[in-house]
Amino acid sequence: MQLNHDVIRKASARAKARRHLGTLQAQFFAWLSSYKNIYYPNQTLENRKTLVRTYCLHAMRHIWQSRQTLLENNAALEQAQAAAKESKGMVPDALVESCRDQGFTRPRVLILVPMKNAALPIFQNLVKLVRATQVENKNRVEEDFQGPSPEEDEVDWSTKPADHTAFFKGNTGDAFRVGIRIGKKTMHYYSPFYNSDILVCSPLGLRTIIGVEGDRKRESDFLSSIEMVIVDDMQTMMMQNMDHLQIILQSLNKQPREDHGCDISRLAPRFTEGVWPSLCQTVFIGAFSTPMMQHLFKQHAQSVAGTIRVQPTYDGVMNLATTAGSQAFRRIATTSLAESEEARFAFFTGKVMAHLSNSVDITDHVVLFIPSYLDFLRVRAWCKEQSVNFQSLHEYSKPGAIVRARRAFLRGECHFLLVTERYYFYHRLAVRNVHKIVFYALPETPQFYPEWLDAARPPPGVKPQIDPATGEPSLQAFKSAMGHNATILFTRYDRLRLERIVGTERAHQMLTAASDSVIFST
Amino acid sequence: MPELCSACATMGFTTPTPIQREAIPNALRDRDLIGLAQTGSGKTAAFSLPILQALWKNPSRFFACVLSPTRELAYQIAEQITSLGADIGVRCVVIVGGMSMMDQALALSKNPHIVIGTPGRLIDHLENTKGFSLKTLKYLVLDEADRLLDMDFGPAIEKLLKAIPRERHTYLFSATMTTKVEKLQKASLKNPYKVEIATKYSTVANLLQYYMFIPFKHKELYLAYLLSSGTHRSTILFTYTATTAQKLSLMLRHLGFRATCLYGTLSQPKRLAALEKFKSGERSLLVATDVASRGLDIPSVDLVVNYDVPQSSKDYIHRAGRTARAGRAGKCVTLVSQYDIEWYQRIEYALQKKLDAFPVESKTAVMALAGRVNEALKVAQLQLKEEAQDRKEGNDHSALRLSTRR
Repeated sequence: MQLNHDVIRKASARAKARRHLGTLQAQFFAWLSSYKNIYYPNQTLENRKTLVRTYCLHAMRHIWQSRQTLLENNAALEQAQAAAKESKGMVPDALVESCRDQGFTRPRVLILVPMKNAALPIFQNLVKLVRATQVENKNRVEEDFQGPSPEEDEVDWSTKPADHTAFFKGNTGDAFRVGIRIGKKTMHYYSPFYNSDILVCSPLGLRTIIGVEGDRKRESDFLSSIEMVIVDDMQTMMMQNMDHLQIILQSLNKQPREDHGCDISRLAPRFTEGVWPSLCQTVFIGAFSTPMMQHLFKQHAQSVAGTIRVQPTYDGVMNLATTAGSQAFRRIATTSLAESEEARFAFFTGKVMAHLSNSVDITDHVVLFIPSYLDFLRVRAWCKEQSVNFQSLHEYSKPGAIVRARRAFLRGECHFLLVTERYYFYHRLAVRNVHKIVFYALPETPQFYPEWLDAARPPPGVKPQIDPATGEPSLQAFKSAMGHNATILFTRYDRLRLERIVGTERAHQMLTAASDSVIFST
Repeated sequence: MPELCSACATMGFTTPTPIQREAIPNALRDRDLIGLAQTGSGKTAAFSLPILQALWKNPSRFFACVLSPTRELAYQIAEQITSLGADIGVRCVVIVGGMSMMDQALALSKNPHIVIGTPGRLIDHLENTKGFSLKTLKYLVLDEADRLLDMDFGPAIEKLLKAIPRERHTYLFSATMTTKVEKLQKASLKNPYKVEIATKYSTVANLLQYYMFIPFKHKELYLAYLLSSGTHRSTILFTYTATTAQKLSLMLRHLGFRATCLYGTLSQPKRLAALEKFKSGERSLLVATDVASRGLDIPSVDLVVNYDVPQSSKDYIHRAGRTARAGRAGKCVTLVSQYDIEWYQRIEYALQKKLDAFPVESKTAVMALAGRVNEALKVAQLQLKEEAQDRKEGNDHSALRLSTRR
């Protein structure tokens, strides 16, 4: 009876704790505490805060536990030393061996976030968790990470979609690095890296310190003993330079070049035996998954504890579009990834563009949405060669050029507008007067698809023909005059993007179907 | 102890050498030792075996420390101890200059049983690497003590003696006994047992020693003649300066000898690589300065040539000691020019022995080589010049490369 009672009490305590934490938090915390690598491409606007809170809790718990061990061992060693001095003996080898608890350098946790506005909630959570009575450099952090005040803010957030507001409101600086030292009841921002427990950095900010091979002043020894690396908001990092992230992950847990005052008699066995890199927990959090992220994760998540990969299923975002119109999905046949870009380009120039320039009268306002900048360059070069009348918006466009291109397109001075995904990600400005849109490839961010679809409306001049037999507008005739509002090119290597937009199940059908063309009409 | 016996057997040690016969029983009786013995007499095994046996009885970290004057010798000692102690799982670490401090600190953190090193770097670690101490040390070995003191390691050794416990065993080995060594002995040893195997200045009996009296002008010629006259498996050629060593090795390479060179200013990895090539037989000729004159144990060497007459009789004995090791036969030839007579006579006096002249067939046979040798010499000198130029410009190049990259 006693036993049963205990079991029930424990279970109810656990249930209580879970209620307190919330289901997602309890689940995510359980995953984190298993010290497994976690690939979580399921971040949403709703769960974003919870995820941050949970990994902050996990990181803090890790720091506290290591700190506790360290203090206990320090005390034990001190006591033994005092005793040894009295009896003129030696500190026993067994004790010295059992007190091996340190790495080469102090920082144990690395948190990477893309922009300052994403780092701020991390700081807030950490302060709350430490219950710090004294926070050093608090004002400096607040100054550095604060966004523009509502009066100064130039952006009218009410016109922007919710996800854009969530990622871009506040300070969007992308070069920062903050070392945080945790004490018993104190917290120190901007502590020197070699004296910090947690590093909160942006990829760019950290990369400028790590440098490249051949730089005279470069430093990465402080990354030699990282036990936990958390990468949040991966989708935004995708829009930054992924090279930085890759190089940072590559320079983690390398043997330092100098000892930086590390006490070799306290060096934990995993360091002396050279296995510490495979004990580092890697956590990737993002709103969706891309092949690049998967590749990075596969390459760098080395923990022997195992891996948890979350693979969400999607319902798609097609029903979010409010405008009626038809979307033609064209599957391009390819046999290998290397060839797929070539095949896509050939299909685009040979079929899509040829068709568009044949039906001249309705090609007035066509947007060519080209996610990748490299593809964009290729298409732009081709358009110039063919003397196509076009304007372009890309991530390196100057503000003046953006205004000019948009005006020209609105007035119908050019027929084509080339847009890259990064441009749209950072500006999120709707383009008006679009009649047709061609997706050279699908955007990584699923929300962009319905937004562009809504932008594409039939030109006001085109009226549906009246079917003489019924006296009704003929749908068939209307469509043939219109062509399709949207043409989308995809290959079998675009599964991840496709499933986010059309839904997991339908994506599977579209990729395996015999016909390589699917048309949706709404 | 069966483990050590079997290790000895696998290494081919069947009968103890005189020094081992004397030293090992006394060392096992827990006495400090002074060993005065010629090179190649099995000193390393004489001190390693007692240490390994004590370690087996009472294993602990940082059990013994061996000091050697040169880096190469340190590696060689470590190799021998590791193979002797393979069966009891002994862990050695070599701490010498020229290698990464961090790698060495990491090796030290693995709690090795035996540390083998050169005094300078060892002190560097004791002072700068946190958490490393030799307070648990039970055995200290000073190998080639005369050389250690010659190379101004005196202060470093003094520091080391302060950093290690007094309750320890100390073994001191030296090929020659000097007053400095005697001082060191008084400072560091307690009631030592003295093992003296050979008289002061001597070389082993199975070593054939010759001199070649030649005109200075034709030194390279006679060298080429000497090297091509007999069939030698491995040869070490000693020069006084590093530049001569470089020049000669280039020249000999042009003449078709597989030569490599070793001198103090080479970086440590290069020194190790050169030595490795020579040991493995990939190169049959080693042109070296006095850094290679002591302690190196390469059994296959059957000819030592002194291109420059050694500065002292002690150096001569050490150089000659590189051949005729462990009972094998060997030859040592010294080239003596008209300017070296005085030095040479001092050596003969110290050896108390008149050496034979190396038989030269005829002068014409030597002169026949003149054309090729002079050409090779010219090429070598040109190459050296170019290299020096390159090094100068190379620095500029690397600076340029950096700036363009930025």
